Amino acid sequence: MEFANPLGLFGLLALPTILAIHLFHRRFPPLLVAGLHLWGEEVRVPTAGRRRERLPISRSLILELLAALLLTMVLAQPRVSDSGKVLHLIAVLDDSASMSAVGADETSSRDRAVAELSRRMEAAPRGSRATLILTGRRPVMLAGPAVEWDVAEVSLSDWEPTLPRHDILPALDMAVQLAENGGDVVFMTDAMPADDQPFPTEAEVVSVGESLSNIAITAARWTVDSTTLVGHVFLRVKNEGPRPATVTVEGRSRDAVVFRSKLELSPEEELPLETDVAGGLGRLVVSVVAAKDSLAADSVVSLVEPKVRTVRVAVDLPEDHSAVRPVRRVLSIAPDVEISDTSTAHVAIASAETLPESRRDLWWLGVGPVDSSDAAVKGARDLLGPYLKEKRDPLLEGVSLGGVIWGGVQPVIISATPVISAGSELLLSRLNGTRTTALLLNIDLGRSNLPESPDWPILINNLIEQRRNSLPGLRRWNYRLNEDIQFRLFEGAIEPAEYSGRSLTFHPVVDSGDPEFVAKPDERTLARTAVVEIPPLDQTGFFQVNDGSDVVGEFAVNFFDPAESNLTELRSGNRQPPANDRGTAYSIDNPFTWAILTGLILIMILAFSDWYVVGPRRAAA
Amino acid sequence: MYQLGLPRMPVAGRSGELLGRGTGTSLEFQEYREYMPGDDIRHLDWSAYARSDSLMVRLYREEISPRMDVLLDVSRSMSTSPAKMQIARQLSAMFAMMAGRTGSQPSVWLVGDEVPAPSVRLENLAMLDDVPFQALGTMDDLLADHAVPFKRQAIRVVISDFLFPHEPGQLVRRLAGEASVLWLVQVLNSWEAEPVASGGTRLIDIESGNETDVYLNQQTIAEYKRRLQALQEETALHCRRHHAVPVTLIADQGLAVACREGLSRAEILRAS
Repeated sequence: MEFANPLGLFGLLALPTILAIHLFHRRFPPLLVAGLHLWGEEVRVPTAGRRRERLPISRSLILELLAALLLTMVLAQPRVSDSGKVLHLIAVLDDSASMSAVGADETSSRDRAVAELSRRMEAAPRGSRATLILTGRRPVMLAGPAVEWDVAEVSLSDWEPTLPRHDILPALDMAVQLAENGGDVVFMTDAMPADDQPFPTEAEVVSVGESLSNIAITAARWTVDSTTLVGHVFLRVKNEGPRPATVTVEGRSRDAVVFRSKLELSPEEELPLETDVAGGLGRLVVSVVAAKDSLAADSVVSLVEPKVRTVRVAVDLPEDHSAVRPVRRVLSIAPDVEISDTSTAHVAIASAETLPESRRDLWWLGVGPVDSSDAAVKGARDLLGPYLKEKRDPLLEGVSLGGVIWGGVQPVIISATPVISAGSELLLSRLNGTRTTALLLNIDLGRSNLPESPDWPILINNLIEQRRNSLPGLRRWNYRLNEDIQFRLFEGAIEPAEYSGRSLTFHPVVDSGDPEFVAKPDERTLARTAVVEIPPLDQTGFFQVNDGSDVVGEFAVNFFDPAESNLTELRSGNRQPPANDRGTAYSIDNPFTWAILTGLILIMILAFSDWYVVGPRRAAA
Repeated sequence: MYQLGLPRMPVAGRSGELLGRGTGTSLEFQEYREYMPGDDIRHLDWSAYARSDSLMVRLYREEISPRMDVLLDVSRSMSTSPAKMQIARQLSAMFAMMAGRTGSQPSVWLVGDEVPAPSVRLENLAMLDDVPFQALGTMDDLLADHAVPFKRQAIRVVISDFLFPHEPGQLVRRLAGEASVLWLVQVLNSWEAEPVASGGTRLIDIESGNETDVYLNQQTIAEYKRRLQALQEETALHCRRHHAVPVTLIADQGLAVACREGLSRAEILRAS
């Protein structure tokens, strides 16, 4: 037995003190009298030479001794070395969706892992503790640290593995750190880690997986033709099993079946499925049904119908301008572009001779010549390169300028930041000092072969797509689990004053059309910035973003992970850590301290009762 | 002022102020008898001889100075309170001095453990102030050992608390033997006469050291007083048989009250 506070053992001195008090203390005050025989009581004759009396074993003495002993125990805080050492099981739970795959016996790896943990904890010494950590990009402590198994078991009952394949090391690192104070680390998974995979030696691996067949939707995409508004759904379905499978693919929008197809898949075969759907459906839930489909997470996808984000472009060029034809030619083939006037345009393509008005919502491309006077035109230079490109600028993505003659280059005398330059000449630059996103193309397309090169439509399209991306609202509507989600809340860097103060939130949407696919209404708040970032989600389904009472948009998150959908490699197994890396015993505070304290209070109550209640009655009797 | 309340019956003693039982030389006429040779011719009643022609001798009552033995119990039981010791000393001295005023030579016997018992003479009464009450023996045992050389026909005054275990009849008989007068003066302190309820108390006999735990409540006290009264009544009964006078005094009331209330009512003292 050990004592956390050995000085408390000085309290044992109270025991002989109490005994001495009872030995020498005369309970009744003495009174010298003459004629004791007249009192008629039984007279005791003290032994000559002895003052000490025989110790009376009274109820009061026993209670006082017990109280002193318990008080000493409370002060000394005893620890029984064997019973104080208990098991601290630090279980790292693989939160991969494959743990939810159900086999023929209707049990999943998750169920077997829970049963294994329960078995270990029931076999552990009384008072043992458990810590449960879920793997993931950021490990989550499901229960703990070091809680009683009853508490951990409640948390464990809510565990539903859903994640795609991810790194397990963060969770294991956390477990190993917790084990430094004592504890055994066990990793509960459904596939043994490869030998060359980094893995802490202190951890035991318990794999409870089994090889299963599975049918998975490995990819899904929904596009919309902006002209006809007809939707097009593209799917890929894979048979992750050793046997052929007949798969029924069904698309539903709310209660209505939008499409249904049947696929015959050979073992490990992956087939695409494409189908047109009507515009305006909003949401679509696609599911696959097959006889041997073990994992539900990859058998259903939720898709949100993409919104057409049209960019209005104004071509404000004189008809005799050398850029008119090349610009119109590119705009005619650019998707989701609408020709408009300058006042309502998102992008204005105009002559470089006249600088644009300062408008935050306007993008402006000024096409040269910068000065159309004869002298300036004559003084312009034609360049063959080399061209210096700002590679990080998204405008130049895919632009090579190979063999391009950059003709009609004139000196630029206003403040500008180069995007493409040749020597000291600014060929494509961003103008400074204006709220308009203004680009100056220092060129005379009549003296250049750029319009005939592939770089011209790429450059214009990049400009339009950049402008499209800068429009408020969602740019994408369908995401994978744990994928970063971004959207623009407002144009520019500063939010208009009339919108500030509103609450920006998003929450799962319950799709009433599919009772098996019900998301929980769990609203979360987002920071109001120009570009809003939604943290990677580990929950599939439909989500809606609200700005105050306005709906910003909807998006869907789906499980797409071919590697995780492949259940054929799952195996059971066990790998023990080396003996010298095994966890140490875990010490817990004495759980009986409160029991001792309670006993102490009870005994003190009894002692006081004995002194003040029982005593006089007994004496009077 | 008080004087000893001696009874009417004659007592023996030296010639003195008190009348003795025998015939003496006092002026108080007692009776006539015929002259016998050797009689003091000064006591011949010549008138009677003239009337009856016989020699008659006038006999006068003998005037004596009575003998007194004061027995002071110096056992520890007398020291249960200062007042008890004080009044015991005062009574011893008072009786001795009263006897001394009659011309007697009283003795104050210190009845304790010593055999024979030491005595204090009249001229040394101041020694009583230093008498310790430390004896462990009982008066009954001491009398059995004949520790006190009683004077015959003496006035015997016993000052004690009489709380030692004894048989009253035997004690009174021994004390009354050959005494002309026996006064038993029981001195108690107020607690011994009227104990007060004080809850649990360990009573320790001051002489034997025996002890007992009692709960001093009204019931226990009433039982004690019943036993004390029974002892006093039995002592009084035997006193009557031996013409002795018992009296109980409460030490805490003081000597004056003791004389006025106790000793005078018992006619041991008379106001002079």
